[in-house]
Amino acid sequence: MCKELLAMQTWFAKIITAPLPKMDSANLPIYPPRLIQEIRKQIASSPHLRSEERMGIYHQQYWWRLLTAMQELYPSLVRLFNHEDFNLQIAEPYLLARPPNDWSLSRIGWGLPEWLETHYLKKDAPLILALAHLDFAYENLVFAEKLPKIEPAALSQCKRTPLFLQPFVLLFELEADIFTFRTQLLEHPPSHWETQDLPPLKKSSKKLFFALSRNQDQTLYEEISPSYFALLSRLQKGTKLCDLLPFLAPCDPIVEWFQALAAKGWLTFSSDREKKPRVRKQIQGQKQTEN
Amino acid sequence: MPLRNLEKILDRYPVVMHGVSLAIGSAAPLDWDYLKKLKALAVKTKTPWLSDHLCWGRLPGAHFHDLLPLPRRNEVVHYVAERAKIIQDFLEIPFALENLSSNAQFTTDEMSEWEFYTAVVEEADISMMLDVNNIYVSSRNEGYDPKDYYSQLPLERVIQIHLAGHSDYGRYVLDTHDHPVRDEVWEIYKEVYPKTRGVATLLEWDDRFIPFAETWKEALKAKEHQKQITYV
Repeated sequence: MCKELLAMQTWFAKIITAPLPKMDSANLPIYPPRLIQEIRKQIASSPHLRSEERMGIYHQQYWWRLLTAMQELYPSLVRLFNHEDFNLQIAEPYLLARPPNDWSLSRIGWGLPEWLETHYLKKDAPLILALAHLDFAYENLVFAEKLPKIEPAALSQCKRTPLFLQPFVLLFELEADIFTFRTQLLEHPPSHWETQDLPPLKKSSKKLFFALSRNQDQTLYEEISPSYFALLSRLQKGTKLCDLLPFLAPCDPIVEWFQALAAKGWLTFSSDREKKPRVRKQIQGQKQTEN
Repeated sequence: MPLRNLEKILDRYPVVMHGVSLAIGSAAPLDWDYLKKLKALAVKTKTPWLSDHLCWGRLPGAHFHDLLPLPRRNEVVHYVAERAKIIQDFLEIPFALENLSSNAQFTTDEMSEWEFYTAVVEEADISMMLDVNNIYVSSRNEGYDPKDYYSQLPLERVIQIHLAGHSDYGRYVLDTHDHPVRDEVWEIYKEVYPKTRGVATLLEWDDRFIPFAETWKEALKAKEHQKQITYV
């Protein structure tokens, strides 16, 4: 039984996961004659629909559901491209290359930043990639774990115990303030950006460092200094206070930093972190000047 | 939904678990990783039962994120029923399957949708999560009287009723959960509800959201309809 069912389901899946062909006036796919004959052997017609139209409903729904989920996961990319171009240039080729294999719909787009690195090679790739990483990071933080925090009073007792940054804090090294750019993009729906200039975005003369974190149910970003970024980066991997001392500069306000980190609940003893990308090194494209 | 938000809900309300990812009729081994997570969540939520759909939706290495139709054949009944028994035994709580909104039948089908649904739940000895909107959608798409469907179901097996709105495209109807419940669906509800010993009713609304107050008002219409029912 399972063999027959597997054959039928494999056949069905092959049709619905293929790229959508041209659609008819009812928004259902128009199939070539040979495929229509094949479908008619398997799917019965109904009083109102032909066999191929009935199959077409599943085909259309498969793609609409996945593309909608991708648009929700990457809201700033949708604004940069518009819905149609996002689907055509990003989401559809990505989903064809990496069809979903996980039960969670919210995870279908988790591989997009990595895929873009090797498959999206246009002039604006640096900006597209940076925004993809940011959209992914915001989504990632919604589900990031909150591990038991270290209280400020307990800091003095943990000089020789490895400390870790909480999983709900992510670090970014950028060549432009893409966080502000993204925030401005999200202030308007995608249709707004089809007729309006994109927000200004200038490459910075020096590298910019950011921490993105979740506080209750809000995700916030802040620009941080290079040395603070370096400290947090070491804490992401896990480090003992005593090992940090030679690495810090004499002028670094180490006590204040650690008190602040502990007060914000960003420090933990646990290393039980999900293996997700945390440090992102990106450069900025100049998409706004191309439009 | 992040677990922390679910925990806040659990502090205030009872929760019943309903899934879309089990894909019980798939020609792939049961996904034990998924089932273990489901069981752990069921323990956490203290759900009185757990339900998913009578469909397929995955193959080895692929998940289609849809509730796809199964051939209505005796071999498929046995295949799904066997898996339903295993799942119910593993979860250690009542397990229910929901009827699909059908958009396709196979040329090799040996029975009607209601016969197939009944055969699976009876052979597996599990409950029915009856979606009355899906009865309407299937009847429109396949061209039969919805009464043919619900009048032949073992309604004593119904553990909960689902209601939802659908999108009508003229030649076909889609179960989209983004509209108020249509009058035709309320009519089916009024027929089915009294025969289920007054089980709970759930309004499904998961797209094109309206304000909570209006959603709540829509859900309470079920109570109004219940009052109009004459018990026999």
